[in-house]
Amino acid sequence: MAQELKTIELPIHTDEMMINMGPQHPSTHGVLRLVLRTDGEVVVDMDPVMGYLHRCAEKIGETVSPHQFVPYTDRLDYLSAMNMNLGFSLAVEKLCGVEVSERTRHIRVMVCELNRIASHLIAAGCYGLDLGSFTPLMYCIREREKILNLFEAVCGARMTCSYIMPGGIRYGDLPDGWVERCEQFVEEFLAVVPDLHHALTSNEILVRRGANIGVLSPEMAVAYGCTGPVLRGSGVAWDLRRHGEPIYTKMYDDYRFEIAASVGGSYPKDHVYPAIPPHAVLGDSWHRFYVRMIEAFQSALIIQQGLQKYKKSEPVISEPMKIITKIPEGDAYVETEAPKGQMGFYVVGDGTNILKRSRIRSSSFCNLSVFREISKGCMIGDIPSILGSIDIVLGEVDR
Amino acid sequence: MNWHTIFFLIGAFAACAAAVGMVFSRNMTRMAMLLVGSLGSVALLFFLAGADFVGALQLMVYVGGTLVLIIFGVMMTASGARGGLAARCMNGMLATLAGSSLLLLLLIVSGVLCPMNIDSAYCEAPVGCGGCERGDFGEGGDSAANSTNGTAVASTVDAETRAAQLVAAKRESMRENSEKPFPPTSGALGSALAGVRTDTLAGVDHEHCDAADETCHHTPGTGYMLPFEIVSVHLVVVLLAAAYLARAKKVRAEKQSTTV
Amino acid sequence: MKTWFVELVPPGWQWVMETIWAVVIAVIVIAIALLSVAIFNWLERKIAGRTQDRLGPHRVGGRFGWLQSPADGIKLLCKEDLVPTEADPILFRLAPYLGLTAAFTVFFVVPFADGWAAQQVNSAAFMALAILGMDVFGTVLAGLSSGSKYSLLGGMRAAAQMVSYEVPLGMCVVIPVMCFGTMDLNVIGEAQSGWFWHWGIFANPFMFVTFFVFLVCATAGCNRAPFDMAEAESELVAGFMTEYSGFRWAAFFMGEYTSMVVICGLGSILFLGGWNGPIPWTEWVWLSEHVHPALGWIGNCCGAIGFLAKIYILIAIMMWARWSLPRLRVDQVMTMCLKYCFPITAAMFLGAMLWMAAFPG
Repeated sequence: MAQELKTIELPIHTDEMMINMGPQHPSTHGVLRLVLRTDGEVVVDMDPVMGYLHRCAEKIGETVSPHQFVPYTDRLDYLSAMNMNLGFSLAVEKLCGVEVSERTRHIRVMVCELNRIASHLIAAGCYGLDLGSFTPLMYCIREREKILNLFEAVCGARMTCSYIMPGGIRYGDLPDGWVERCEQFVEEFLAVVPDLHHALTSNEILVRRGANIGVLSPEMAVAYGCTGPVLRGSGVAWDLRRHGEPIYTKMYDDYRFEIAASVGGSYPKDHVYPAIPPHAVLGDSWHRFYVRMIEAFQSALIIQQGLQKYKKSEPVISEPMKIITKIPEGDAYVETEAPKGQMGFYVVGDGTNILKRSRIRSSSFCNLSVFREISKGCMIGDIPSILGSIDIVLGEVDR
Repeated sequence: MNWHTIFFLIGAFAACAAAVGMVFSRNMTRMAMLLVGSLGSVALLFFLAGADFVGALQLMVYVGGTLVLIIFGVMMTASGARGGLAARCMNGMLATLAGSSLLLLLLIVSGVLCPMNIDSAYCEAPVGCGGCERGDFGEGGDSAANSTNGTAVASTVDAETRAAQLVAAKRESMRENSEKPFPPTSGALGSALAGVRTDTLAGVDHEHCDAADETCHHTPGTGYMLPFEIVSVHLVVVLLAAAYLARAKKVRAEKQSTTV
Repeated sequence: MKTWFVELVPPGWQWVMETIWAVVIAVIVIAIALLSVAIFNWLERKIAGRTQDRLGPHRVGGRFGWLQSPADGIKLLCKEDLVPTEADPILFRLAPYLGLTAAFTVFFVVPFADGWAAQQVNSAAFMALAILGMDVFGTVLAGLSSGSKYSLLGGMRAAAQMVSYEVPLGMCVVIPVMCFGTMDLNVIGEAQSGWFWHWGIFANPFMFVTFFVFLVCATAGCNRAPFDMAEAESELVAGFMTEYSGFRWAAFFMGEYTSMVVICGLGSILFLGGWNGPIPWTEWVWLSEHVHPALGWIGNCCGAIGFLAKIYILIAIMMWARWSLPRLRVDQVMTMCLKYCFPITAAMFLGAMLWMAAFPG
């Protein structure tokens, strides 16, 4: 590995201590358990233990019809339910060969990007919270609440939406006034972003806590299958919205956005983002966090475009598949760019209305696998920083 | 019997009990805390004697000292903070030897014990020369005064009366001061560390005895400058040694990759 | 007033009255401190609420939700006091009160107004620091005796932090002591009477800088965010307090706030004129001892209120910092102390010395 390990070798050795961090711990983002071996404050070795939230989601997918399985996908990454719905729906649609109307596509893009903002707001706020700054989280939550209000307006649920279904979306067209409310939200959000940058991105203490901590080299990121902001934070410009399956990239074809990754040492210049601090190293906690902040901003711009395209599109909404719809024989695998990384759904049909196999590739799971490698030799106080920048959701890790 | 005596007894008993408890305890945390208790009680005794500055110093120095002790104790002991500690036989014998010789030294210096081959005046002299003659601790005062009177035969009558007046004036100022619970002591202590003994400047010992007399080795003008400097240099050496021991050693990258 | 009270009884029984007097004074001082704790509990939540774009407590009742503190107190009293099996039963029970006692004992030497100190001690500033240093023993003891690894780490961090920050904090106290030429807090307070430009902070430019270093070191010395290494809830769950519940937990809480009151009181006497207001209005309305002892007493009351107001402002600043800033890492806390605070105070010490040599008087 190209990364330099910073081991502090002291002639005075203290006894190693084994610390169980979790499953009940404030900064493990749920029921993750970390077994730390520490020498004083330095983490010598670390082992993440998972499985405390295993709910047999994949097996359930083989006992109910795709239509009924959608609410279970809500509970995978419960912070971005829309994206989970979309990933599963696209996989089933690919297997069945279903096309959705243009207007449905735009609505899907908008709600998914809204949910990406919501997820990144939680990630950014919790990153601050993990490093002892409670206040920014409340500002993030305030913005997220507005997004959840929009979700409530389209589907009645705030978190577990089950809005995007295989074959289309539920409840027909968007409700009256939703477009205006969404426009208003985007405007408000774009005005709030500088505040968040002020409180989090360029806060000197947060920079010092994140810069040069948990450095993940691009090679290691690719080797471990890291995706999403974790991969892009290491400077790999890979975003499935541009590089994915045709059925997915088609949704984003006519949208303008740049991949939020540092290419040749510079981030996208579509907007003036805070300067990169001198001590930050590409691939460290700060860069992963920074990528999320940029993506949240870009998502807002995508939503603005989506609203324009929605207004121009023909008012035809695709209806979801019925429970009794037969799934053809064959298999399909679609990965989508969820907020936490690449979320893959593999579905196998056998001619009945129930899937023969359903498997899930979890982004958080793969991102978490690199945690041990990048946290060796860090201090106990850095563990929340690294974990917060990886941004996992245990519902998705354990499935 | 007054409040002063009651608190003195409480403090003295606590100091002794905590010290004994520390020696016989086998639990590291309890030992450390009993040590803190003992040292804190000594600080209380200092406060009761009106030596506020020395008492605060006792707290300050030993709080820091014991804290560091605890940190190192927890870091270095294999069984952690709560494990039992048992001394080996040899260590116990050595400790008994060192402890009892320290006790002997203390008893001699405080004048309780007086070995035959040492002049009795020497044993009692520090009490008289120390200048602290508060009622509770001044039992040695009379005998010390007697001994100084006895050795001062060579002085003239004129000088004796002047000395007597000075003694009376000093006693008077001491009585005034002792009515305040905390007479100012820090200034005098600071001057003494800087080389000027203000308590002997008043002249009682200086006027009273000639230079050859062994009982009055504190001549005015010689304070604690030299001991202070020696201690300072000693501390600097200790700090340097600690920094040398604790400095981080750079390890080569190849070696690292094999060990990790 | 004490003399009058003591002489109410015949000479042989005056020690009883002296004891009663001492107890009454102690109860008043502790009541002020405990009341402050209740107010700070409420104030902290309100400041947190306003910082975070919300209202703060208002559901329990009372104007601005002031009943929150009593409600919290009752809740904590009703909670079960758990002692873990792994814990050292005696030391675990002793720890919270140790810290609390140390923090309260400092009031022994802090004057609330001219002459209004329990004991007017010649080396009061030094003594306050020394007793305040004992505060950390509660924390360390809790960490060592809880039988939990998080507590142990928290206790160790607290000890290391305290030992380190005592040095710059002591230096910050030495500078005003040098400028005023005494360690007696009462005399230092007296020397700053009159207009606000007589305050220590404006005595010379070095004192001005020292005040802010003092504030940082005081925050660190009280284990407050952003230096709350011992607690660090995102790393150590609750650090040394992990295993505590109910009233013992509340005792830690009280100890923390009391030490904040004490250290801010020390800061306000050394740098902000203590009980002297920004303008010498008590002189203008003849609230002075020279006119009549009773008027002097009223003047002292006003002074004590002003002194408490300064403490509250300093503590509000600490709370503001807590709810705005992220936590530093443990090595950064040490770096801050040894690489920044200590050299700055040393430089300020030299500077103040040269300033006094250059502009005597």
